[in-house]
Amino acid sequence: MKNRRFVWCALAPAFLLLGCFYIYPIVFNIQNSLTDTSLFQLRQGGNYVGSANYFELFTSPEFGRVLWNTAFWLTFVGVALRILIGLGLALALHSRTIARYRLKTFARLALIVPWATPPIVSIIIFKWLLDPRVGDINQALLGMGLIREPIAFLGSAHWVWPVILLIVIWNTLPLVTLSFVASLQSVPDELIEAAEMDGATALQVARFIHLPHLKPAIIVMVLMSTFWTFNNFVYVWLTTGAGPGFLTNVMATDVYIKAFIDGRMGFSSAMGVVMAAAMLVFGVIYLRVVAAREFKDVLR
Amino acid sequence: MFIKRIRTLVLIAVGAMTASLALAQTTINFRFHDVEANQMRQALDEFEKRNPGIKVNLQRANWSDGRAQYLREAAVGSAPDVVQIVYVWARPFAASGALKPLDDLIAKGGLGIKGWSDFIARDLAAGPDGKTYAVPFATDTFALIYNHELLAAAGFQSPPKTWPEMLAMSRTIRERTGKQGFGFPTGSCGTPAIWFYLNFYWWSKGVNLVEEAPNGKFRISINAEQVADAFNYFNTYVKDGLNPPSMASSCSFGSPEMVEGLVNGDFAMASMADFTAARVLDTWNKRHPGKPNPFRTALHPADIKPSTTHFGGRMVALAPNTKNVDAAWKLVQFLTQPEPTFTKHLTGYTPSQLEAVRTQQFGPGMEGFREQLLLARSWGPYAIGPVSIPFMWNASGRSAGSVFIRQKTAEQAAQEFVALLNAELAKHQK
Amino acid sequence: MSLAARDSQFVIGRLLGLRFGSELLILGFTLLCLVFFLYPGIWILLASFKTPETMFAKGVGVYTFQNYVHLFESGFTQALINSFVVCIAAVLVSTFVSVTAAYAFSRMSFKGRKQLFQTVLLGQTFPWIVLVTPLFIWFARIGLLDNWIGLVAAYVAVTIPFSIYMLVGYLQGIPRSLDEAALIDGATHFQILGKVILPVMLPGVIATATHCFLVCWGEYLFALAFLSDESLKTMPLLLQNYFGDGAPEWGLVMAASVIATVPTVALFLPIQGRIVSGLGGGAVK
Repeated sequence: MKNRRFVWCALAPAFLLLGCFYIYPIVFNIQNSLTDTSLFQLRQGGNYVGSANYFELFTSPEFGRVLWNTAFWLTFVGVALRILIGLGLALALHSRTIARYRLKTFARLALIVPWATPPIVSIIIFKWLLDPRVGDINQALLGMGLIREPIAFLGSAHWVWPVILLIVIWNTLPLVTLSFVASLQSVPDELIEAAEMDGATALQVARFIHLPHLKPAIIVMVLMSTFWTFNNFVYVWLTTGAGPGFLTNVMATDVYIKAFIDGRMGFSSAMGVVMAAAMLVFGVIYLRVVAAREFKDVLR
Repeated sequence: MFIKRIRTLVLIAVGAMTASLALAQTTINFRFHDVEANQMRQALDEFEKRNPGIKVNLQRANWSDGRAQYLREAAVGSAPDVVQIVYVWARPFAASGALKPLDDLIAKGGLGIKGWSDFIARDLAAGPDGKTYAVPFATDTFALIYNHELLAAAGFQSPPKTWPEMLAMSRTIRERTGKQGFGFPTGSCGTPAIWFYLNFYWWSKGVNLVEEAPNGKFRISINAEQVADAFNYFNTYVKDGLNPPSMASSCSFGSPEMVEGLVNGDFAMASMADFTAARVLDTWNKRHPGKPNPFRTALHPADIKPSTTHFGGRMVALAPNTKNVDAAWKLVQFLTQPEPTFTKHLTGYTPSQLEAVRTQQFGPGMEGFREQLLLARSWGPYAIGPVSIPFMWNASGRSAGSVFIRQKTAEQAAQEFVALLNAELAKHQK
Repeated sequence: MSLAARDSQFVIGRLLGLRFGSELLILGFTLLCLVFFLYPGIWILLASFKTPETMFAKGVGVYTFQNYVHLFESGFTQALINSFVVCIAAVLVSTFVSVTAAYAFSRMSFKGRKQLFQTVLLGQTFPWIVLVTPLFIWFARIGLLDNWIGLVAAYVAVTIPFSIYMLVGYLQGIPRSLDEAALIDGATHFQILGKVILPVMLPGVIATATHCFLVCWGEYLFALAFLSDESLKTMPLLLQNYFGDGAPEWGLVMAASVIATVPTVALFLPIQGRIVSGLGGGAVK
């Protein structure tokens, strides 16, 4: 049957790659997590310790902090801010006001710069803008008289998470905003004009027409951002190195520290398995809530 | 018959040509982690000139990534032939079979200015089985660098001799000149500088983190009070505004905050390695050509014990999977000679040999380093004990860091730190 | 509604004091965001032309091309070329594999389709950091270390889930009647995909491919683990190297950062319109 053959040809490469690059590492990590393999003894392997790694992980006081950092600060706040600001910006860009000043194209082009900047470059830029001695931000705050002494943002317990989130948002907000903008473009004009003829203000139009239309896009973005952010290593590691102290340690950086600085590969694999499992739960929610609707015919 | 003979001759000729071509060119990989990659490349070019037929591939990596990278490669047999490591990596690498034992090669001679016995830190180069696994390459230590003009402006003619004196001087400097006194990085990262300063403080009080007992077992020989004391001392600088605020975002003694801060005269004193101090002097000279350099170097503050710092340094070692032992060893021999590597290219470095330390020209303003090197001690039990130095290094930075940002009190952080070390010791001590 | 009517509404609104306020708010907010987005980019562009000594010193800087000259003398060009080769190869393979797979998922019905598709979707949730060591060991055993093939294969594998997700979403918006018409004419599936569907789903494909390129371009961990040979290293590795260990060569860092960003910005500019419509693919109808 030519159908069968085509399906095989079409799917085989993808699943071959997924098998080698996902299934094999997962199996390896699960196996590894049951041992106490160390970085120094990679060749010899480690001793079987059963669930000791997992037990230690869940009972360690650090785990609570790491989980909180990852789930609340990095993911929840990060995603919430991006969705809210993204929505606001998308609605603003779509509004008549902007159209009047012909800012829309300029805005879309301006969004490209932060989007196209590689994460490491974004971090370099912001670390210097925030520098206490010569950074522009401190210079501006001092100049405006808002502060008397420069703030060491990256060394201060209060400022460190806002700074990380600032960099993440700068880099990833464009994608969120643009997908909302794309979705808004498909709102039928007649609907809006009818509402305005009934005397609706811009705010009411936004609330009762645009938002409901955006709901699927919002849900999709919430879930995608959650996946991208929860697993993220680069932003936290290159900005603060999980410091000061262990203040900004998230799961991905902890996996790295345990594996490559402490040398505890077995323990680190256990943490990796837990990360993957946590995301799997989200993934299942995503499948039920979003995918079921969005991919109705495929997931029938 | 004739054709057969021709064919044999051709085959022999081809065989000989291929063999000679293969013999003619050996390529070895050399993994180098310091920033002076260009200078090392020039030294290697000189090596290639002196050894036609050997080509050296210079591979570069960061110190922070380099350790894990090398261990991974050694585990699967794809490590570079020659690798540059830090002193304290030699033993743990050897213990995990990641380095080749070198006793036979060393016995053949040809190393260094005065031979193997003149090398510093040979004890650190030995594995748990007593065999030697690395050759010390360069040595360094930290000394105190200070801006004597800034000190004079605050009324001081000489650098501090004790820790309380340094603190008091910093206060006075702040009051009288508005600049800071002793500046040090308080950020945390994998290899934070505070590790060194904490240890200098403890050593000057006769305290060690790790000690070896007569029965060969190791113990954590520091208690929470002593740890808290050190944390409190350094935290006083942070608390009372005596440390530049920009230090909170830096964790390395060679960071721009340290170098620029000193060069700009934002603070008066710092502790750093000799190659960094050389950079400070150099940068200052470039920006103020013709003016006399204000920087001097001196011994660290001391307490009941004299000023003690560590022998830092680099070693070079061979990978166990190397196929070109002779070529690799020739490179090692080349690198242990002062000429040309240290005399022409890596001029900021000192060969890890006593003769070199005695005769090294330290340059104007850098005499403090010679004095300090002669008082330096090896990491000793830290390095050969069951708790790895990278672990303690990282843990100390983060513990101290949590005090500096007021997340924990010094006493709290100290208790956790000691408990952590003891737990780690129990885990690895047989 | 005519333009005149809208303007009169504006006047009425202004009399009420409401419309003007909200317009200011919208304008202010948008401009604030745009400044936020553009300022860092402009800053680093300017900084890359200053000499390292004056870059961070207070006051006016000295401008020079020296940073860029120095950069290209230090072998950055090779890293850029390497990154291009690796990324383009990864994008081509990944897009090809994803497009065919997405088509199969969207248009064909077969046993296990639901489960297989769910597996692909779940692939997006996977933390990449746990892949490094297993893949390293495996590559070492089969000799794919220090070899672009291994790196490209890894990049393809990690970008497939998201690409398939995007493309299936996009394909859903393309009516089946197109397929059916071609089927009746006796075309094979490959022909339908290539000649009929692909031209229509081009914006979606471009959006997906661009995202894939962006991911590969900035990727650091895998490149670090799999490549040791200097001549093979990609751009992010060299950029991180210029940081030294606490002694960054700032001139090089700034210039390298700008050069590293220019290709992606240049790539996005002409096609950003397509990307936007590609993103909205599923929802745009």
